[in-house]
Amino acid sequence: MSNQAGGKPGGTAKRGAKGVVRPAPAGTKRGTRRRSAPGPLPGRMAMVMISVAGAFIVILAQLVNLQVLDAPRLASRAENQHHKTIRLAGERGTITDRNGAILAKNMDVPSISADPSKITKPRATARSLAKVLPVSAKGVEKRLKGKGRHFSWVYRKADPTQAAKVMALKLPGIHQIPESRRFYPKGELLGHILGFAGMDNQGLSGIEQVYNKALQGKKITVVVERDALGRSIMPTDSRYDRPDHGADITLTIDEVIQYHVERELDKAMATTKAKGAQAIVMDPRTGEILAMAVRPKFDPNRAGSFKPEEARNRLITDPYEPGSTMKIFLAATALKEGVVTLEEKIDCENGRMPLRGGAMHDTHAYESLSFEQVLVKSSNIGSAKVGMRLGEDRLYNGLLAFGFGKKTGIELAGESAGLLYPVKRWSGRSLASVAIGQELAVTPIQLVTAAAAVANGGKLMRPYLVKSVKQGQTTTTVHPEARRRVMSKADAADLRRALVGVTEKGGTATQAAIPGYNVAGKTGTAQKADLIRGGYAKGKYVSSFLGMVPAEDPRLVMLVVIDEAQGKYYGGTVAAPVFKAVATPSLQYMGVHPKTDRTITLAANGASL
Amino acid sequence: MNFSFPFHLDRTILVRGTVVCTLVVAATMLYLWQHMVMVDLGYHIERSRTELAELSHQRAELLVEVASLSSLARIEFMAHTQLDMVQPRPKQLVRVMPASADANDDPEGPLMLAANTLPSP
Repeated sequence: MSNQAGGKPGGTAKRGAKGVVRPAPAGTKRGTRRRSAPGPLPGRMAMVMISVAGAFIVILAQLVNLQVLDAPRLASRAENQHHKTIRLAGERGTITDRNGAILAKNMDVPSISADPSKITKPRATARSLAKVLPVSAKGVEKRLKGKGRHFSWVYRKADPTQAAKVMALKLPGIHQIPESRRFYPKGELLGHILGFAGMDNQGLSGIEQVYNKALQGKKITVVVERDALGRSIMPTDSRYDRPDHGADITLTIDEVIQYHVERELDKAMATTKAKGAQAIVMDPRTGEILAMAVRPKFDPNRAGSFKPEEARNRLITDPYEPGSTMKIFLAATALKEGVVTLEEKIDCENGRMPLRGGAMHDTHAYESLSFEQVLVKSSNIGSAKVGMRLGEDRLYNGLLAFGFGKKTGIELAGESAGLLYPVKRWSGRSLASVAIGQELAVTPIQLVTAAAAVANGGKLMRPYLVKSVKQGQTTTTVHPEARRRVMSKADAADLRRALVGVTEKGGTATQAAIPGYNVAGKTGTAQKADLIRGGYAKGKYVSSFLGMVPAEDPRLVMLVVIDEAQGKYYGGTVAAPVFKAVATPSLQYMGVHPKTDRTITLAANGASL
Repeated sequence: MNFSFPFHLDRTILVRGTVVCTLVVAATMLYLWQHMVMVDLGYHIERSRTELAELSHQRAELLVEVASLSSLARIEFMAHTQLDMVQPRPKQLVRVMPASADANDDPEGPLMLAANTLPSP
């Protein structure tokens, strides 16, 4: 053993671990070591390595703790800190008129929110906010209280200047968030038709409501990475892009004609002191609505400050008894059925005709009139007699063919079908009454659509308001739709020629005449129904004028309705002037020029005119 | 202090170890570098997105402002009150027809003139 322990001669014995003595390597002297040869590490090196190993063990232990023992909790915390899920909504589509003028568009505005958990003095904070924002301090205070709550709205979609004032207060826990708000830059123009969008950009009435699905932008949820400062680095989903915007809608409305209509309705409201007024302008060739206006006014930018009935589009929702304007469709049906000609003389009974349960009167007494003159003079007795020749079924079916008693299908919510009783519900007096526009109710859109059929040569068109819908790069265009032929082209031309007499000397609507154009039309002055006592209300009239111009080849069909005009109330005196005032500049704007026989020499001897 | 480590490391192992460590460190650095580049690009994209959003917002603001300023009611009011303009009377509007028959097909239509028949001030 001693020899083994001593090793080879010249070698150095070293005591290894556990007291085992190992022989020194051959060829080494005691106290010296060859650098190239392996050997035990010196003490300092060993200490360093032990320290490093120890450190690694500590790190390893911590690693096990982090990655295994405490992993679920830490992973959850990291996830919350590192990733943020945000909801992005595409911008609501824009609504423009037929020439691209913007009528409704979204824009970002500041909203004021609060983190109640960080507000220590809710009462003082609420008072400060109430001084700057149009909110009550008590209401805001309630929203600023609440343990564990981290979010509460204070005031949504504020004016930028108001928001700037709030942020200048530097109130703890009060933040500003951008939100998209709907703007209607033309204000009251077309307000009833556009409707309005609510706080969350959802369409609540008008075009905004009907086309809400198309207008709304696509909503997407995106997870973004955040750095230590909370800044987003980039979305984790590489396919992420901006969400799709809602579709842009182009209306058939022409802003210029719409403006003329609204301006003239305002003037009529001021001069007649009427309760309300409405007008529609249609292109009879296509059924496109060029203008549509209702009074009293409605501004969708301030929708909350109007009563619901003020926002209603009465042109489609409110049927009324039309009176004499219906004689156009009586005449159309009578000509189609061949029961009368325009030249045929009709006995007008000197202004009084006995009827079951009473008598029918004319405003002016006539002995006899041609059917054309019956229309021009708006004789009730002459019209009733033509209605009697037609009979109940043919008159009823004729009016049904023109679209009365059914919805027109215009793209607006709440359309009324009007009221046209079936023949079995007619009384002994109904035939005469319906012939002169009583005992039935129609909406203005029904009337103007039916008149457009007379104007375009006999085709009943579907009225429409939306010309095209553009979603991304795809544009869907709405085309005119003829529903059916309701009269022959020749009868329509004859009827228009007869109706020109209404606006000429001796007619009931001379104030609708436009120099240089032939205007065909018909006045209507109907007593309003007394909804409480029954029968007709005394002194309450709906005055209207339904016209088309130029009569030879109409480009505009227009209905003007004045509700309860004070003082003068005949359709020819209160509604016909509005027709003229709108049609004159509109025809010039559309390039439909008047006939003139004036000869003017230009640039001759000093360019004088 | 007479203390020695209980195993031997020869130089070859040390050299190889150093090389391996260097490679590992280099690979780690490469990975970190490309990660940093990614993060930097992410910041850049986010900045661009923010800029795009701001510009889109400005554009929307300007479009709404233009639409509001071009309101016909406003223009007519300004024409009447600030510029003392009036609507031409029907007889003041003169339509100038083209000389040739072919020119009638001009898509822009005939030229309209407003004859100034108002009394001189």
